Amino acid sequence: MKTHTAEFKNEIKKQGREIDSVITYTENGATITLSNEDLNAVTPSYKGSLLKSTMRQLEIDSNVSIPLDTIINFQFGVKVRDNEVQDYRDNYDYVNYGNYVVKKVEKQEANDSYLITCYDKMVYSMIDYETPKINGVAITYPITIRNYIAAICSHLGLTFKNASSTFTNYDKEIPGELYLDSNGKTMYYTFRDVLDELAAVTASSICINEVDDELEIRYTNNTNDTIDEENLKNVNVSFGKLFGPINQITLSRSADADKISKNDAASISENGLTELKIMDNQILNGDDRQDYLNEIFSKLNGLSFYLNNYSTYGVCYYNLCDRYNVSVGETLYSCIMFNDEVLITQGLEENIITDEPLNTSTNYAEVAKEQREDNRAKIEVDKANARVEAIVENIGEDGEVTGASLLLAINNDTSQATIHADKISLEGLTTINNNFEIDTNGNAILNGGDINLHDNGDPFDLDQSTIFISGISSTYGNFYNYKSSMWEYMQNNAVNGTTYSNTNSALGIKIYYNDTTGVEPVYKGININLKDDITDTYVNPQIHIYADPEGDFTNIIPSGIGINGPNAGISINNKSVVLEDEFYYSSGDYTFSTLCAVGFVSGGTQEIVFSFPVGKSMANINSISIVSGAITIRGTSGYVENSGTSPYFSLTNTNSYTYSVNSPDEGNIRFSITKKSGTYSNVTNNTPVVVYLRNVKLRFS
Amino acid sequence: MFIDTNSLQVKVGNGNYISLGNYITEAKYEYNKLYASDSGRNLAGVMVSTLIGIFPKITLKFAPLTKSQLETLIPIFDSARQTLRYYDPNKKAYTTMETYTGNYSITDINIIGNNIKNKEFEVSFISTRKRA
Repeated sequence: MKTHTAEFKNEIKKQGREIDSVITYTENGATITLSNEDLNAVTPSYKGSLLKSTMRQLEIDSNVSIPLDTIINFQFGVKVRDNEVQDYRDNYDYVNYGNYVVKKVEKQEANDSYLITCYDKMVYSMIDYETPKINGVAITYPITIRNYIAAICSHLGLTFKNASSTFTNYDKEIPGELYLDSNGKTMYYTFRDVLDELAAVTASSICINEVDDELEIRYTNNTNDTIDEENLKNVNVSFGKLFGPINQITLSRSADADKISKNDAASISENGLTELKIMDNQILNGDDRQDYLNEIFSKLNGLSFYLNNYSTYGVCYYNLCDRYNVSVGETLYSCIMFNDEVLITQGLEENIITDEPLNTSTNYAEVAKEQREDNRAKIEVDKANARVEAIVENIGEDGEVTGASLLLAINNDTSQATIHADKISLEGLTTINNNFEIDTNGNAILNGGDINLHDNGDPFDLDQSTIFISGISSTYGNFYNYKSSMWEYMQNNAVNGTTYSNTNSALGIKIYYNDTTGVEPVYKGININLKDDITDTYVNPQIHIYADPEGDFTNIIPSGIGINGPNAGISINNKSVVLEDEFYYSSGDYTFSTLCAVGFVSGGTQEIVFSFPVGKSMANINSISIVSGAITIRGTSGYVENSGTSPYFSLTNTNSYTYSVNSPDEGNIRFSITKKSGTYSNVTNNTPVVVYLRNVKLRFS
Repeated sequence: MFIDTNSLQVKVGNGNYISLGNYITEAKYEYNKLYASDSGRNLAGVMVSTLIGIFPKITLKFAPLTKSQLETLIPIFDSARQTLRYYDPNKKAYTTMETYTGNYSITDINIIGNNIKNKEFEVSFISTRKRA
């Protein structure tokens, strides 16, 4: 309560009270006094709350300007005497509103006056926070709460009123710097923000004392003073519910998580729950916060006061946190001053408001009470080290811990997100680094990257590992999908006698190489030995070699070479080719430069027939025609047909002869030359003749 | 309170006081209270207001005056501010106050000269500040 006289208290509510305002300050060594002649209006005010710091404000409409940063003192008086005195102020009793710092001066041209805004010395805390210094030396940690506040005051040029007092949590220790990051850089706290948090830690309101300008840890002050209807206006008078008694204090970390509480169960049962919550306080975020909570609860448990909003003709002597009574009719309201505004012009009006302080409803189910430690859930926010960790844990009856955690941190300029859990589910379209995508249908798309398999840096052990692709269980998976390196690996590393089977087929491929125990293998390679893995017998197995022109197994073309089991030969274009027997002729033109065969001719006949072997099977040839060539037929005594200077016949000359050629069997070609007229003569039946073929071109088809 | 012919004097600026007692036939002293706009009734129904102060007002009735007498007084009536000295019974002493004058009018029914005078007229002197 401001120091005041009984006369002041009585006169201020009287009809015809006379008031006075006095502002004094020093300028250039001289004391300047501004009175009613100079002042058009003065408005002192403050907005405070439980567990907060409070700064008082003074707004002046003055005919005289005051320099910035000037320390001014404001007193408000009520006339209580009518003595004939030289200084009229001797007839007034004053209350001291304390000192203020001029922070803003605006000229009001319309009124030719100055609007001056001032604050108490709490304004010195409205600067960026840095490690407090005492006489220029930074404090070290750990440090007690009391010494920490004292250091802040020293740093700001203030005096700590409670430097030798005991107060809530005064002796708790702050382990390290909480309001700068690990590199000592700002996290954009101000000293005012820190004082707010210290107000919560000390369960107080932190303010500047009106008399001595010292920073004070202020608790509720019981004035035992009562005002009544004579002080109140007959409009705008509202007294609300009784707030409290406070019977639960809850501390929570960032995002209102990881709550702990302490309460008075009996009070809750009798009065209902009235909770004060302190959220995301850096000093109350540590593992020792339970200890802080105990003292805060002890200080605030049971506190109650009436909420209100009323206007008066002026009381003017209550300070922040003063408890007082308001008598209205038969009701006595016990109130605490938190918000005040005094409007001093030609007249006087004072507006007082007390709102409900920090209070949120708490679901008991979310609170981890001391006795429920089998379940833990917390979010730890370490602003200084840029680290957030969310942890949930359950301790089973057997003591086994089941938990999951999410860690976000920055280490050496690298950001890190780590998730630990028994099961991690990602739902929805999932994209990783804009390269790998898994849609909700299970389709995985890798855009431009490789899938590399290795075994702790060593080559992937194909014998020990299994790749499952499309439901096929195979040591190498689906053969259509292997790369050439896999064959190289198989060629160089396949285990002798290992069978690699396709479980969807009865056929398997057995890899082996010549390996004589104790002897360096002569060769390593892949010999394909076809075997039915199920019956363990050869069942007409086949291997077909396919071409893959696209190189991506999307357009596999049979190359026309197949291996049809053991001793089955090779098929070319689906025609069998016997590798160990003679090759088959295929369609085309073939020239036999010189062939000699024996034919038989009979006198009186027109036909000579002879055959000669051709060295390959004609099994694939359906027809033979003569393209060109000549034949010489010589008997035992010369030419069978004496054609003069041309001892041979052109096979394309069909004027005198007709020719035909066929393949009577797979290994021979037979010619038949038939004279169109006349018969062969001078020969006995079946006279052997020698037939020479000269550059005979035959067409096989 | 008019207690003698010299208990009501007026001057302008740093000029000399002129005793008005020689010119008036009547002086009416008003002690007007000025209240602030916060006047009202409190919750108990009691009237409450802030008294800004008492602003004295002295209304003087002047006798018919000669031309030269008028020429002496009218400059004072027409000035922006005057200093009026009067005897205040509340103070039980002579009190000076800064005043301003109200509107006034003078009626002539004859040609004014040193012997021909105007009719009586009134002038008010109103304090600019509350009485200390």
